[in-house]
Amino acid sequence: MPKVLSPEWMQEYGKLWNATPATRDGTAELSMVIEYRLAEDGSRAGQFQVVNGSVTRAGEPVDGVKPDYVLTASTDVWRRLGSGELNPSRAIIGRKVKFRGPLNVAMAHLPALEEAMRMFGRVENTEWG
Amino acid sequence: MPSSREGDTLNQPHTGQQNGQIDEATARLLEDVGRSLQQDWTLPAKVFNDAAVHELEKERVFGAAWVFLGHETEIERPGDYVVRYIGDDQFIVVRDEGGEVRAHFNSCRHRGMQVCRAERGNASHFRCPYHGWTYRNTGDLVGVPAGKEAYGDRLDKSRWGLLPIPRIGTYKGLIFGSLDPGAASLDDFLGDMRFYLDLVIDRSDAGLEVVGAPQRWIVDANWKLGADNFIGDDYHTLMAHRSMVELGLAPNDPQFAMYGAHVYAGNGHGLGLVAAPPHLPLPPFLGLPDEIVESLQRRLNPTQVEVLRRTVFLHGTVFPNLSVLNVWISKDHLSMPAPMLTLRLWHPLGPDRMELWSWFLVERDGPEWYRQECYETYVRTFGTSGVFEQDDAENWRSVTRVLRGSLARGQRLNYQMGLGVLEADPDWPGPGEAYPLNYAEFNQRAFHARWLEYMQNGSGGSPREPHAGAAPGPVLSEGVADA
Repeated sequence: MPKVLSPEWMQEYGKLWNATPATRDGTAELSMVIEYRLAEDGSRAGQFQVVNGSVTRAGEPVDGVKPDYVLTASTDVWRRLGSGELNPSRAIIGRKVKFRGPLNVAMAHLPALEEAMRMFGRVENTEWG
Repeated sequence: MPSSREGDTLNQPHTGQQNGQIDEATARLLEDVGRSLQQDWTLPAKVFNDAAVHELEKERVFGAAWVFLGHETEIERPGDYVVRYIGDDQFIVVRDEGGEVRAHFNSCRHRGMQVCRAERGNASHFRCPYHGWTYRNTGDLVGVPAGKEAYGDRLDKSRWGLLPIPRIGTYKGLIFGSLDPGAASLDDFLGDMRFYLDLVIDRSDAGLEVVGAPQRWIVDANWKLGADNFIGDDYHTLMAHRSMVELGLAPNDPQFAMYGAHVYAGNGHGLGLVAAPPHLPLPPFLGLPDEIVESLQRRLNPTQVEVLRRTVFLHGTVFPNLSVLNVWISKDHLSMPAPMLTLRLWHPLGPDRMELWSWFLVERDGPEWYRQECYETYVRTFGTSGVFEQDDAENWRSVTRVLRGSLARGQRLNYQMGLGVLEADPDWPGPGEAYPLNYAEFNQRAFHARWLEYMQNGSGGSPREPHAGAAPGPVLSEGVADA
């Protein structure tokens, strides 16, 4: 049972990203580093690198690698995004998810961003605690 | 409030009718404005930089219309006061001990000295720094140094209180004053604009509050350029604010700001309700937080809710010089936008100079992130040093400077946008006359037409009827509370 955002969980998440057309194809022209953080536990964060739409590395944040995007939310918000209870865009606009990153790129790839957040609910056996 | 004061009998002129004829050149200019607006939808450039026009505006526009003075939350507690201006006159806007909002002419009845020298504060009394006449915050004169020795029994203090503004009224927290005792009621003056103001000022149960003091700065530009811009100029967005595109805050699309409705609300008031372009996934209700969306759906009527649902950007002008801006915008290129709200007053200081007053407002009961983000966004975009404020001010400064030239003053400015292209939308759900595209200048033309009515007639009169001009009377008389 991988803890959400743990290195194991991030590996599974990366595989899902690559297997999902909405994220993989939806970001096909992008290369970036994305970091997810837990609002209530600053020490827990997961980072992954996307090259031309595909995840090439996923795990803990790497020293010296500055993420292009940082999305921070509580465990409960990540869980509710994964279950579909929260709309990803509304969650960002309403600051349930704190967003930091190039806004114009994110807005132009909103379907991929939304799907990436919904995928939190598709990593099997996630331990939310 | 005293029923009678000596000043009430002063027959000081303030309307053109009392002040004699308009000089011939100005009269010709005003006729030209009327002809131009009607015949070819142009405007003589001279109206934006002319000393005689400015003097007449002070008398006929600012001496007659309702002018914004402040927000009730600026003077929340008994004794709280702010000093505000209409034309060249200044007023102490104060909440008295009984909770009533008043505006007193800030001039001692003895020698005319400025009684209150601070811009804001809390005081039960105001003492003139010249000879010490002292007034309660109701305006009543209560203290005269050595009064018995100096005046014996002849000074009836009840007749020498601070002079109240002729008219004061409030609309949902907004305080207005008028120097015209015969002005129509504030409700009639605002008319249909109230429907649209509600979209901004009546969204939450706890209401708006002003945060901090208004920011103020001088711009070497004619005041009408600000009012003209905010009432309907979406066309400038992607050119004047080009940095917005370069920072990635808006797409490089010249049509970006044209969607939505360009609405004339009557009486010189108008606004733009900018909607999301069809291909952009912008949020409904200006990106307001869920808590505010919930409360506005309870507080506003269904038509207002529908209008606000479609809106991502609202700007408008309440004639003559109050503008509102509520826009979902980012404080920088890495942050999600926030729907910051500001009121701005284009206070004329001369034909080529204005003081810009800018208030930041936010719902008291909004979530803390919203209040903080909106404030930061305001400071960085439309505050004194805000990037978009600088863009606008530089254009207005330049227009005013260029129009000093003798050749430039003789040109006509084009106000023809939308002419023959757009028809009023018969299905628009709200009041007023709405055009289905924001790249239009119907509002600007209507604003200047209304300005012309004031300039020619010397009074707003009944805003829905031809202006008959103000009846002769004192410039300052008992305040009439419309609230």
